[in-house]
Amino acid sequence: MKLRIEVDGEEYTLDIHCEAGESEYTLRGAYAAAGLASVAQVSPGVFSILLDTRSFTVRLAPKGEELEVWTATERRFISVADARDRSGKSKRAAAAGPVQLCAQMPGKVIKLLAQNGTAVEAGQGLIVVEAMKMQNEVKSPKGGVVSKINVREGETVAAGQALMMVE
Amino acid sequence: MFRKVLIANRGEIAVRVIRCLREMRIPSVAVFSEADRASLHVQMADEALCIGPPPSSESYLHAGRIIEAAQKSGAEAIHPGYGFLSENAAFARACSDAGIKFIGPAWQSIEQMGSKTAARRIAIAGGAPVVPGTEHGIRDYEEARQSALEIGYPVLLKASAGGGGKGMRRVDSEYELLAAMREASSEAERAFGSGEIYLEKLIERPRHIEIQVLGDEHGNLIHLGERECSIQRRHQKVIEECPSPLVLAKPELRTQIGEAALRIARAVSYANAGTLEFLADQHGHFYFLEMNTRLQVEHPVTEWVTGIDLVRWQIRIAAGEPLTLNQQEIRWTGSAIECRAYAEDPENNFFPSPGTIAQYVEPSGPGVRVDGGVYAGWTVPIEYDPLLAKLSVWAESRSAAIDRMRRAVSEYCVLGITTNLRLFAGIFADPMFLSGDLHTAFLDAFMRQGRIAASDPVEFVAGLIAAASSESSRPAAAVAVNGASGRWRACGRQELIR
Repeated sequence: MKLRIEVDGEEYTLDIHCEAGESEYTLRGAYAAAGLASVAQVSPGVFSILLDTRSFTVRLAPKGEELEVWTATERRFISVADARDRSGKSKRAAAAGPVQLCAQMPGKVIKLLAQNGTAVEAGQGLIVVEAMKMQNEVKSPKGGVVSKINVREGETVAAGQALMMVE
Repeated sequence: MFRKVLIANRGEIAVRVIRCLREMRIPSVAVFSEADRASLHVQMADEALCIGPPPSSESYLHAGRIIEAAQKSGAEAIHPGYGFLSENAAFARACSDAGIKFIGPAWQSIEQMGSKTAARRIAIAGGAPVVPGTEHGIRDYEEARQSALEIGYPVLLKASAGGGGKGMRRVDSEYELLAAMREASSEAERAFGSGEIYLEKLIERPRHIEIQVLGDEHGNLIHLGERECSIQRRHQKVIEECPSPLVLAKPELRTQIGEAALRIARAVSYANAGTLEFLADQHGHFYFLEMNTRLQVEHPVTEWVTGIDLVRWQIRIAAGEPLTLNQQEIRWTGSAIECRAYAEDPENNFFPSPGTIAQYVEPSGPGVRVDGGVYAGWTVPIEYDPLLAKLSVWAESRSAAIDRMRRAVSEYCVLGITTNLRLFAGIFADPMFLSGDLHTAFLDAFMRQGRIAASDPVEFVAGLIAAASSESSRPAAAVAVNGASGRWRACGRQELIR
């Protein structure tokens, strides 16, 4: 089968054919390789891979739409799709104009450091959010004016929840 | 000896104490908040009682409910672990009033050392060196401005009641002073219930070196040497080791700092395990900072090199047993290092990353110890400290211990949440770290380098083949034909693994 793999923004295609425990593979993309691999699933989410004589243990867990891939020295997120799927993911355009600030993780709003209409500079602290006993200051990604504050002090916020806008 | 002991804590330290109690054949009682019903310490204890809702203030910090749980379960003593109520004199006193032994020092010692400014006065009276600074809480901005001017910038603002870096701010100029005071004070207020802060001279390139002491209730007091804890992020320790590389270079320092620590501990008639923290400059001058009147997170490092079980001694001392060790008998063998595995993202300013652990494999083998509090399938709650486990190793020398730690880290797999584990491989390959040239801003400087280790392309290919194999082993119908079905597939899989 032919798979399209995306790792760290780089695209690869991997052709892999399995016969009697041996897989013949061809990798194309930013790094190219081809050869025979021995693949053994040793337990759910755990693969033993032999490339030539080199032995690797790879552990996998689904994470959203991606796979979290663990090897002895690296931990990566990759997405694997059938190569016939041409939809692709739209790369997020660089933010120009209004920027929405969102909570990075669940927590509690401790303090608002700016009000609606406050002129702010890039890097200026706008809001203090506490999570796991730690206070984190959400800083302005750019210079501008604060608008649309969606939260109040003391409010609990979910990961990804919109906090305020900087225009 | 106690017939039953309650552990007023959670996570890895609760597990550590439960293990010790089991070795001593003492039944253990765990307490837990509603967020921790499925936690490891509850599973491992002999008995467990729910003490309230997830927020610490309504559970692990609620003295009344914990004492009630001890009475209900018939526990004769309470081990407070570290953090939470471990350095709360009122709690220790309430235990004593309720006829329950607090496994730690007398509440009076906690109270005396509880305020850093009071601890400082005790140290000065005992003849131990301290960092120049205000000896009392700052009343207002004007006083802070005057003191800072006298001491000279940079200065450090610190919470009188606190520790762990909360309420701490570096101030490089008068311009920053007012804002830093407000931040430090409000953080201290939130963390410790007291906004009192004080100010001291900042020692450039300082090393954090602390001394473990152990005293019994019969007047015997010894020190078990130092731990160097200079590798920190946001004033929280990440790597600790014994011997300190500074002590390896200047062996007389262990005795010098150790004796200073004993003078201070003696001044408060300290009984049980405690730690005196010092700052040392690169020339070996050292200054007393504060005393932690409890077991430290990094106690395994001292246990490795001295062969002494600190938790067991805490319990024996609390039960009234005399120390059978004397200072001359203490030997430090080899080298030990500890790494703290946190659920946090080093690439995102060490921001906490709670979530569900999908896979969890601890390292093992010669000279490796893991003090863990988590397992695969556990959801790390957002309410508490993000420490997952402590990985410690012992070997004959510092360089062998570093080699062993690199090996152990490469075996340690946590999937599903982001951890700081990958960071360690980089630190243990850093020439400055290897040479032992450490200071408390080491990690900040290390992170700024942003050095990325060269990856092994063959390992990379192995990862891709495994990922492809896992995809192809699923039913053909599930293979994504467009983005939307891909998302559904991922959701479906997550449902399955719950």
